[in-house]
Amino acid sequence: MTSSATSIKPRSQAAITTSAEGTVLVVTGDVDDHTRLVALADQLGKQAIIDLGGVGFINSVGVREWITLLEALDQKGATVVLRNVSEPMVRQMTMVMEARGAAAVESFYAPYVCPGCGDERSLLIAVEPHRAELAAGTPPKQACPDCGAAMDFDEFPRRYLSFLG
Amino acid sequence: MAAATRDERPILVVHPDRKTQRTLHRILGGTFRPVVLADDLAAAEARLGDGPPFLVVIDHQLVLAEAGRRIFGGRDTPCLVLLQDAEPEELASVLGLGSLSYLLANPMPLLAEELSVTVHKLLRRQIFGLEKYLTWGIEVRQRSLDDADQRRALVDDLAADVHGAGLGPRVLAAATLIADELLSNALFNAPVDDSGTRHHQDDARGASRQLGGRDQVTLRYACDARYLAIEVEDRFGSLDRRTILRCLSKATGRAPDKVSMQTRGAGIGLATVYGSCNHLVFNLEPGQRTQVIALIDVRFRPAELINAVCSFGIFSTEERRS
Repeated sequence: MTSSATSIKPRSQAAITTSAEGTVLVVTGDVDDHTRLVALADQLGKQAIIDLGGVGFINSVGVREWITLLEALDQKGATVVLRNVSEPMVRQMTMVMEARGAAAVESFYAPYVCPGCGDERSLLIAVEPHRAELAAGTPPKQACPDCGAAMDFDEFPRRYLSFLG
Repeated sequence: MAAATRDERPILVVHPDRKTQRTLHRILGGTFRPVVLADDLAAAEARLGDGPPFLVVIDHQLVLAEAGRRIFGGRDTPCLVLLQDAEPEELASVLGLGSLSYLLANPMPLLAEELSVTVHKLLRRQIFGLEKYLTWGIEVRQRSLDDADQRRALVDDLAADVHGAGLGPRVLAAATLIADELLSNALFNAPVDDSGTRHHQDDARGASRQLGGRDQVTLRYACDARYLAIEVEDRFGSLDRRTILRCLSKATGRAPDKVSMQTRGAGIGLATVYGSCNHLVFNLEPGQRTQVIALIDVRFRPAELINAVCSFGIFSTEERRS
């Protein structure tokens, strides 16, 4: 049996920008065993926005790393807003309460399917304009970008939207 | 040549709904074994007085009742629980049943497929292999890992095949997550040394480690336009039913401390797999091998299946059938 140091490159990327609304962390790629996020906490301000729209995959080890980042931000008293939360991130947040923590959700992606043409889409939902219906477990209506027909929500609404609670 | 002695013990169905009874009778009738129907626990207990059945198929509300726990709790007879029309929250109570090994939560026609294959696996005492859940003749892709650092490459291969099969982004996302978590489990949690210590549990996940002998891990997958089946097997056989039920209970709803830094989130990987498939099967040969099969139904959309709870089965070569 042999072992050696890791030679696998992380598949995730993180970029931080500063704007009038605060510091914005954009995470993209696969959040997994090779992702290191916690050190970024020091670079984020008290008003932190984290854009998760580009996260295409997150496994259980990646969830632990993500939670460590949220806890570090919580310890420094930062207010965290999650923007464009991707479906893989939402699915983990529906199972693991700490994966959302105390962060507010500004917008998230949700699965829709068109009963007319069969197209499957991940569509962005802004929370504030739909807050009442989301709280009631009702996903907003969406038109198929392909054929214009009314799309069906492609998940159990109560389960998928539970991360907002 | 003497004829083999046929086990004629009946299958006992305990369910209050007559229509469901008849449906179950039709499905189980294919075993050509007596099927005994009981409307309630009193009738079931009376039937048990005639001798132990081969299998009990019972509604979840009946088995959760105090009398149900008393009657079926300590028996060796396999008990298959039906969880139709249930809220996800009810799953936690069912998982708390120490004797639980088989839970079928999907409606017809999935119920017929799941029940039939579960019963025939028990009858024939042949539990291994994803082929049992798929149409005859389907092509199975198989890869063995030579090194622990090949995990991502194998998951990428599977993703390419799933994408090429046109199964859509929902199935693709679930399949890659399932394969990744099951391979991680087999590579890092399954190996135990002579003292029973899980000696690779804290390994760096990206590190190279050659996999020879018992360390070998195999990934197999196939799709027959009903199910995408993903199977991962290790050669340690260190997973047991108690651990499985504890891990699956983490998938029963949002709750605090599911992933704590103290426990490093142990078990959340299997819970993630359970929450990402329609049917999860554990085939256990203690001390020899553990085979986990995740089935994703590619025919029906989640909302079409009505029930958000997923089926599972825990089969063991050491199951007593006296």
